[in-house]
Amino acid sequence: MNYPVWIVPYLGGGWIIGIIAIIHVYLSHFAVGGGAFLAITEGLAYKRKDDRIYDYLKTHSRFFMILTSVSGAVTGVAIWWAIALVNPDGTAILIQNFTLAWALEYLFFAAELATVFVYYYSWDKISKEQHLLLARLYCFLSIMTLVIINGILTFMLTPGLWIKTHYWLDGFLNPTYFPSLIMRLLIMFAIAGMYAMVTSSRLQDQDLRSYMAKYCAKWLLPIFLAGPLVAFWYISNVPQATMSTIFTGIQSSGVGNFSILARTLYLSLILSGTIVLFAYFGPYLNPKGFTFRIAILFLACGLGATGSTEYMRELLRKPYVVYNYVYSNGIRKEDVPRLSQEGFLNAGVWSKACTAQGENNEQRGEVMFRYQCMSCHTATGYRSMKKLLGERDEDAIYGFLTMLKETNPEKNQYLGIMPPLTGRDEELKDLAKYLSTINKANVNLTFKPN
Amino acid sequence: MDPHSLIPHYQALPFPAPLWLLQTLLILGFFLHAIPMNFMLGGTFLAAIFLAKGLKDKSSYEYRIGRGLVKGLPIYTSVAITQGIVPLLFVQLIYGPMFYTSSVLIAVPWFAIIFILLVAYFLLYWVVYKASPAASEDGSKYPKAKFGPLILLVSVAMMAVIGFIFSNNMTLMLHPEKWMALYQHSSSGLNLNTADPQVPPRYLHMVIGALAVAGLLVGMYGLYWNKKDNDYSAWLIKRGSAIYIFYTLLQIPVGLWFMYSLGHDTMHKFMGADTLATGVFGVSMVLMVASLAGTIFAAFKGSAAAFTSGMTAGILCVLAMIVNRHQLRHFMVSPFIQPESVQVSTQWDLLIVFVLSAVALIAYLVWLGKTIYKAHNPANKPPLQLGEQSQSAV
Repeated sequence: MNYPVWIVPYLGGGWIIGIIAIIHVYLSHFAVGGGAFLAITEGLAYKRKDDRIYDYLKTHSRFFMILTSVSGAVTGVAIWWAIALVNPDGTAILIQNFTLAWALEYLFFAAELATVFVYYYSWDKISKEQHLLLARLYCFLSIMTLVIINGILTFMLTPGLWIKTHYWLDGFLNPTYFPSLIMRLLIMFAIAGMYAMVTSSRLQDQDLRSYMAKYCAKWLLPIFLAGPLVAFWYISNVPQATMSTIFTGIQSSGVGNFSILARTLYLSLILSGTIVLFAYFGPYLNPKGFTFRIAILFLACGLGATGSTEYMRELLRKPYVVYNYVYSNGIRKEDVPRLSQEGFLNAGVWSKACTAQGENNEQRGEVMFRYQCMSCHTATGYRSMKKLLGERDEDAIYGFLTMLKETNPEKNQYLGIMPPLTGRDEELKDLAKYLSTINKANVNLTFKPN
Repeated sequence: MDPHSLIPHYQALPFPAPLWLLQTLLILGFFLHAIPMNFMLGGTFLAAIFLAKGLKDKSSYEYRIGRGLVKGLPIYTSVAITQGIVPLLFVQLIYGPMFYTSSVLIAVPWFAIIFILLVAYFLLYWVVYKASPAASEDGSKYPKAKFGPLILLVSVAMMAVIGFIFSNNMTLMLHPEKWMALYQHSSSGLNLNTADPQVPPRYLHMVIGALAVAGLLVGMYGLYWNKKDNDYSAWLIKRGSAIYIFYTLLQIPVGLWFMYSLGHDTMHKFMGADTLATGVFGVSMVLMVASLAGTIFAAFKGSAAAFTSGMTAGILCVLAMIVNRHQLRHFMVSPFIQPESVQVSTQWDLLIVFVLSAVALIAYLVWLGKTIYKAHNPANKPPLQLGEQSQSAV
């Protein structure tokens, strides 16, 4: 409401965050899990006095350093870029609350990167003990970045006591903090194992390649054993209202009782299960037959599993950015009654300025659409209004919008997944007018102010 | 349209620490970002020139420093990116209403920075591993070495584009009167702030500054080689000083143009109307003269001591200029937002943890620095070339 809306045609702003976040999560989880992998594997090489493993680690650590320091760090910055462009109000809330936590994470991140460079550039230059110490320090520092960022990530879904106290630690150590931390660590070990399969599949020494393939497969074991238990722990701390939407589903988010959330959950479980089984029958039982192509296939499956799991986590939080505090369209929950009574468009700085530029009802309706709907919907692309509205005429749309304005869940079945619509009756009518033009041919959808 | 009606509100939450501390961290964070960023941008350009000059004779000093710079570039880039987090975080906190808005208005080029940076960064690694063999290595194993300078120039051109987009956003956030017209032009963020007369001099000021600081970087390599290879060290100090002097002299007309582009009222804040701003500006000018004096002496004599004093003054001059830059921003946004008016509720517990961790980080980085220095300069062995040291790992 306060800021101009960045219109991302067809895709919608949400996917800009989504695509970057999925890639970043996959790389950053590797950065953390890979740290543990380097430390433990180097410990193994040291214990066994096996130079071949040392040689392998030198190659692997170069791949590791480049991938994490270039793509991992840059996609991390990209998330900042994306969230600030797509949801400046929500980003400002997070930053105002957690500036110092982020600043603290930065300290660990800076130490982590400095360590990875010293670690890599000191191969064969310092004693083996000292090098092993560097690997362990890297592992510790990278886990610390997770320990901090996990508090901010989980805060958004379960802000806990913060809602009442606004005390940062209440938000940080929230109900899903620990299950999420453990879950992410398990996922990180698995991802580290999968990435290491890629580098070890290139080894020339057949014995070592078999040994490493089997060894890397074992990194998937923790999630196989503890994953379901931790997932249950996590889910039992998630707001129960969101859990019911997973399985009951609602009309708009899927077909009947099989919601998009449930489908994503099943996809994530199927992909994760496939990876684990595949790891057992592939590199673990038949390490000799393990090839580079199979390793790449693992990585692709891993990306799919990460993508669907992160997508599900985002869906779980709907319709909020910070649960029970601010909605995905940037409207604070406590402002809803006031906005409905006094009007929406004139309550925000840029929504008001854009409305003033509008010449007619349709254009004002388009401004309503930008601010209240476009954080999740597009006119003709992803979650398109054209498709969702179908053949409804203006009156039917208006009737539907008045239902969306209800804040009683008995009267508005969409409340579990969509913010309530806010605004006075005229504003809803303008929105209905605009939406009814979307299905008409030859109507220019883009709001054109003076 | 009245620009005051376009200024978003701060969130209804307090700042987590006193404003002076947040501003100090913003300035310090930007300083620690600007130096490696200058190494990265200016260093990539100088590396391309040195490598191109020395391509035919790998034992030449030109090739040696070109290669030395190339080896460092991924690290400078990584540090620049990591250090960039700090000013980004605090500028969003303190000046968010202006910064978020201008970012959305130029969303497409602003977001493109990420992809341009990724490619520019990967190109640096490409040159490190594929196009910069050590003098002792068999050149035929590096058939693409001749493309090294060209690839570096492509990379530096991409970095220059990033800088240009940054200059656009950093000026647009100061000019809300331009916002609505840009949003009307494209609400998908296909805009730039190129019509702003401040952009060209401000951008040039930054780029030329980066080249000057990269000259200091070349001299710093000279300090590293001091007493290990005195001829090479003196050559580096002379060459680095000359580069610094050249770009700093070039900076004078550009700086004046930049000052002039600010407009009468703002310019006068730095020329007497505001005591603190004028004082800092005066200090920066004294430091610039001191840095020139030191580097001019070093350029002729190759003296490490003269270079060190010139370099120190030059880097402090950058810091003073960064304080001025911050003051300029504060002057320009103060008619529109007042960060002073935001309530403060200091998160003491977290602040203490942060400060203690920061002290621990500094100590840790010193230890890491010593570790890597000792690793590459063993007491009982003659020192190797900087580039050759990591050869076994490469």
